[in-house]
Amino acid sequence: MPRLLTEIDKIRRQVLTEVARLAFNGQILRKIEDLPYKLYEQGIRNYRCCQFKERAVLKERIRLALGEDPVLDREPLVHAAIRSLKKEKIKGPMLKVIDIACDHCPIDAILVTDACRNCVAHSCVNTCPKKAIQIVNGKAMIDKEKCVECGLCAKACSFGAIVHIQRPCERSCQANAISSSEDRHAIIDANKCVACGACTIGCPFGAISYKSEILPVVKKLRAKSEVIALIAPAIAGQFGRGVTLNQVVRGLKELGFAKVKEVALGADEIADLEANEKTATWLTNSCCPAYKKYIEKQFPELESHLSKQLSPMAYLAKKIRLEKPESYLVFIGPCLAKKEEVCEVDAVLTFEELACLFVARDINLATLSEMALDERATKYGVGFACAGGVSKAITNIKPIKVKTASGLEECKTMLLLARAGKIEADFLEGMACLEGCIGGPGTLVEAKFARRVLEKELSEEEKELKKTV
Amino acid sequence: MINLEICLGTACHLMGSEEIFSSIEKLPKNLRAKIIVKGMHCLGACDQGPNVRLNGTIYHQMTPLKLAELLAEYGGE
Repeated sequence: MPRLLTEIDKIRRQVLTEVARLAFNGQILRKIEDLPYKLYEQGIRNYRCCQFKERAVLKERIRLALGEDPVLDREPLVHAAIRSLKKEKIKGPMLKVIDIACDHCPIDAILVTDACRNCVAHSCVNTCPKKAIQIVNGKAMIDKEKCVECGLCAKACSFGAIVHIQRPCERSCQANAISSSEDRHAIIDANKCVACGACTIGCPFGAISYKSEILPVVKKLRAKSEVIALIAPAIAGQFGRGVTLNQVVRGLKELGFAKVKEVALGADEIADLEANEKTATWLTNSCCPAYKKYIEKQFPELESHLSKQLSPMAYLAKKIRLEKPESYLVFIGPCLAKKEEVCEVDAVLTFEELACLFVARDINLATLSEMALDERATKYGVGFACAGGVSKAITNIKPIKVKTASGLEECKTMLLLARAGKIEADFLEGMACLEGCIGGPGTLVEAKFARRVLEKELSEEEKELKKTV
Repeated sequence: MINLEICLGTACHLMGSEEIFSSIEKLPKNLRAKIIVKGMHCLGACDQGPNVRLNGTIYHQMTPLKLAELLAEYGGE
């Protein structure tokens, strides 16, 4: 988790679990209409003004769990469910604003608080480039007509008495894809959105969330199709202390997955290909879909620097598809942007969605026996999960100069410098999430915990290897 | 001494038992020294997680904040 667990996460997880439970039991159509009532009874309440609004918000969250857009009309949930059950694939954009959950928060961007002391320096008045600040009745006052909301006065005030308020959704979005409508509810511009999912964490009302793909996956699992799980390297430690990767593998088998494959296997091969890729100047990774989209949308002139390789997920999926054309491929990872990546993968689940499937089937990983993967990737492939991991894998193959950035904000700085020719590196690694994939919005544990587990696993693996040699 | 058992089952984990675990490390040293922490596979109330057991009594829907308050109470005895 990029931050501590909130009520919003808990609500989303409860909704996903209940929808998954109904799906596994084949009761969606019969019981979906009662679900808002059931969840309300279970304790999802006291967040909004009244029970009616509470259930209206829940209804929209259920629609998202079904893989449908939130619409806020009188359409019964069962209609959405019928439509959804017929779908083979949930299509993007995956990030959606739940209008009724949006607080329509005010956009008075610059505010002078009571902490203003009417000091002698008047730094605020002096710094304002638009001369929008005057002292009225012993306090700074901002002329809204002149103010351009640059925020310089807020920085200049020695008392911190001027605050620069931004809507949390807009602030969280580094792609500037979120704006507000006339009645002030949030709007996501799909042309700018890179699907990183930062807004789902940014909005403290939980008004932005993602369309889930649990329904099509459960459908395939129930039909006993050959469903193959492609697990992201970031899976280490996601299911808590005391639960090993081999227990997760056993759990996946119990859910009905026919096979489990590590995406890190693909990462190993991609690192090799990227290290040997020819470019005129510098090269940057294409494995992070949000970062890749960010370059395509915000820095189109740098697109030629993007690696031509597939992402490890797409690469591995293509390989498996050749061997097993009939199989249903499910990527399981920390990422929301992967849900919009076009490739051979049929569905993308977050670790969160997978955990909800386990709970819906009463599978307790902690009590399961171990089941080893038949093939393990190298520590470099697994290392893709952490920021700096791709660079490590590449420099292991070829000694080149690298520069890394994690979090879109840092990526932006890196790309601006690169565009200006101010970076001396052969390879730029950009990860849209802070700390890399382990900091993704679909994770279950804090990034620092995940990193600890990952590092421990990798060092133990090395010890074992030395023993066998 | 306080016997603290934290459920590590998947249902409790989904609702944040890992945070409960890591919050123990952040407690004041003198209180932390009084606590014996043990991870459990299941405390039998999976729909009300995260669950913990304190000296034999089960508490549901635990949060780091609630637990810190409870522990301070237990520790004061």
